[in-house]
Amino acid sequence: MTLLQLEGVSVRFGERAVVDSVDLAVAEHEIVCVLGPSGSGKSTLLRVVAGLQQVSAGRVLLDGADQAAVPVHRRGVGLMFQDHQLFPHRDVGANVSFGLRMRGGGRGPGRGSHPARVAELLELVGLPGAQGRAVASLSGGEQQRVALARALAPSPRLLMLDEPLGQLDRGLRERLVVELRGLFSRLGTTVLAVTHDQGEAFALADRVVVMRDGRIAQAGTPLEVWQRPASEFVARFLGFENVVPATVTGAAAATVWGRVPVPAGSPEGEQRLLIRPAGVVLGEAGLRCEVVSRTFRGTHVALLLRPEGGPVLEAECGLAGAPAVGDRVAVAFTPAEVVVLPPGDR
Amino acid sequence: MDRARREVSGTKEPGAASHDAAPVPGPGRTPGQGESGRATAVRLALMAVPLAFFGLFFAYPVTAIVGRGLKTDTGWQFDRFGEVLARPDIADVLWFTTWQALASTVLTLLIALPGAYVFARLEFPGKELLRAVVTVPFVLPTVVVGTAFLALLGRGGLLDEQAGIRLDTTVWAILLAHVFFNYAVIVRTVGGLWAQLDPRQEEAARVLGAGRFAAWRRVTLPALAPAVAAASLMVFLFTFSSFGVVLILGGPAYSTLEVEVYRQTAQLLDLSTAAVLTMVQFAAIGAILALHAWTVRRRESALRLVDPGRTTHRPRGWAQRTLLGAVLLTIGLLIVAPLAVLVERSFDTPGGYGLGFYRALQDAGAGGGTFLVPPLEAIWNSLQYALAATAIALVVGGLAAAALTRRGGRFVRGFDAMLMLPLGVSAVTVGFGFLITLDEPPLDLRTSWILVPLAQALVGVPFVVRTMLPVLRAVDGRLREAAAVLGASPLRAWREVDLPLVRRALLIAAGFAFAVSLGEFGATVFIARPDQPTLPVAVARLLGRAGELNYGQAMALSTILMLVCAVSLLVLERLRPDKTSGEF
Repeated sequence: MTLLQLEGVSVRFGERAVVDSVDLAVAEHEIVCVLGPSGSGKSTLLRVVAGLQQVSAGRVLLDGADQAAVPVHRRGVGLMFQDHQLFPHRDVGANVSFGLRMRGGGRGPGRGSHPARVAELLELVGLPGAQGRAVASLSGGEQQRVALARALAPSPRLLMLDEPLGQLDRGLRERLVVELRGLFSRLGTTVLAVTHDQGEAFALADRVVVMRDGRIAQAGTPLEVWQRPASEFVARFLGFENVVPATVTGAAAATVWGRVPVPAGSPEGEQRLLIRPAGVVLGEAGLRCEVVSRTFRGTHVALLLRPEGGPVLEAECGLAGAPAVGDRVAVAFTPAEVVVLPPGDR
Repeated sequence: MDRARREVSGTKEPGAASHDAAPVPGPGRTPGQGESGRATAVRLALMAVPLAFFGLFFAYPVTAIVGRGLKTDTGWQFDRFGEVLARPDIADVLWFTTWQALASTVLTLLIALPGAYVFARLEFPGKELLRAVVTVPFVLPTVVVGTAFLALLGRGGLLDEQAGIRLDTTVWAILLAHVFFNYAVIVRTVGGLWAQLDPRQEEAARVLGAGRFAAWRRVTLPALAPAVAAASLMVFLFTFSSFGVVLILGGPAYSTLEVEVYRQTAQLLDLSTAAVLTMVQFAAIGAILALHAWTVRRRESALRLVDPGRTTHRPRGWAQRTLLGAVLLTIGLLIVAPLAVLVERSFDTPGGYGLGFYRALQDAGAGGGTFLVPPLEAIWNSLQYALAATAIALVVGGLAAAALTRRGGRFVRGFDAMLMLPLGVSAVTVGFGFLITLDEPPLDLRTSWILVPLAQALVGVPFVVRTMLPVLRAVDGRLREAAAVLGASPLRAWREVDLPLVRRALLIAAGFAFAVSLGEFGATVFIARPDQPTLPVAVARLLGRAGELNYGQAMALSTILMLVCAVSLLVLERLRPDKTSGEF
């Protein structure tokens, strides 16, 4: 069952289209992550769904109902802002209960403070007993948890997260992303998140939507997007740099790096070719290169190689037997790590 | 046109695009095009009350009185300008008004800038109390300031008694009183910013090879310059339109434009001369305010500000200790001494120190028929009027500040400037204008008590706007959005988010409005009914009479007025948030 549907949504600031005819559907209980560089229009997309941003064209439907005439506060969606936007003059408990009070309409002491629900939510986000704390006394990670509890409190039919982990340090981010995914699947929350961090998107999402200049560049499961980037833009955005023009004939392609084997069934003719670093294998024979740099990555070593011809090449190798800077090596390519991309993009 | 609309509809990016590139507002900070129409409608609705208020109680009376002076059966008499301005006595007034304002401003800067530094960067015991003390004069009624200096420098004053020196009919008394009055403007405006300048910027310059003075001149001074300019213009504005101080200390020899308008209107009944002078003052004030608005806008340029608590330190070395000592001495001589003498004189009865003058205030006849009611009743009158004026100023100023929260185009800036005009336009003109315009149905307020609070609220509004605006502008719009997403309607979001955040500023604005209403003299002196004088009016009336008892009662009443102002200010000082540096 589709919960959120965007039909040809465009947002223009003057001449520039920040969001350009985007079609997107999010099913109930699904976690969708919009991934893109800054300025790709992904935050604006969230603001459109929340009703904070008017569309220049297109429709937003929630549960099948057009939201054009529905003001922000009646849409029943949750939005966690990039920098949390906790109310500085209220304590943690009052922040969390804010949405409940707005829905319940109750005023005065006792009424509308929903102590049981607040306690339950703070427990859920791992901050039990924090009700009375001042917002200013919270660390970045704690603020993020409170913001999440506040957004979850009114049980929104759709929860939107804008760069949910953007300001946190790496270790906390990796831990929280796992926690969040567990939490959302346990609660059955429908989530639309945006991030510029591919690691975050892949870890969190059932489905990833890559945006570029206001348009959707690719959509699919994390595995699909990772294994089969749809364009050179997506490939490079995912951090792959080994992309060159190629002429594909049968099972191999001619490139500046020589002949590269391609997976069976690849389209033929003038294309572009992505070789993932894992597909660049050091060996006895093949393309001869000089090692330009060597970076220790924990589980492997990332190498930057300068081949006899063509641009520099990224490669990976095991910790044992990694060559030193200045060494001369030869590399071959494995077809499983090669992707043929459409030409002309970028 | 297009540019103006774009400015109304959204925020300008800092360092926005150059002329050829179309400025594209960043997403997330700009309302969509569909919203800007509604935002403009809301803004206009908010402006409606302030506009009506200013139209009815400012523009209309001022225009009417100018019309009364310059319009005859044969039409407008613009040649009166030439005639009046060519008169040597008027030329003297213009010349004196200008040069005394310039001299006062320069003198205030010279004396107060070291003070600004000391309050901004040095830490010493009693600093908070002293900060409140130097601010007391600013909210003191001009009449009290005049009286205090009279007690210090005038006939029978402290200096006269001790050294035989009298300055009350010299220009020095006026200049010193102006410094006394405006010391806080410099210390607060410049010092407030100075305290928040990141010292590491100067340190960076030092590391890059600049000497101590070069670093100050090239890093700190340029950052401070717009604030210094804005504060100086405010001081110039206040001293240019100085009334009570000059009226009391100037004697017959010295007269500013404002005093001359009063003399021409109230004593010589020469309305056409008064009208010309009012227009001249209006033009001058308009120019000063335009300049001020320009410097303020420049001051809003992105400076990196830090918590003032982090930039202060105890005085180090003999230079800083000497400076601190000099500043403390200046404050003692210039600010504490006049106030102390005022209090001392109020107890100094012919039969020794006592409460004689205060007791006499309970008796209407004691002043030789000066009053219809006991002067002490003026306290109650003043408090009632000031409370009503504060309420009016809060409503009008609050709505105006809300309308100005989102920066806008030329029209909005014009509105902003208009709100400042009452600070400079002759209060005497306003007061007299009230008398001749608000005397017929449907607005027959001549006998209504509300007339006085309305006039006082006019001077309160600029303070409310200036206090509220920075705070309102600092409220992050996304907090409102966060509330909306959580289910709060726009009105509810305002009540839940904006109101609690600006509550403190609202209280401070109320305090300022209260204090200036309490001290308002120029307009009130015209419209307060004889049986319901306010404190400043009663003081002025007492000073206008000969006799030791009148003089003593004036001192006693001034002391009471000072206490009321000081108490409301001390309450303010407790409320003032440390991080916002308002303009006053």
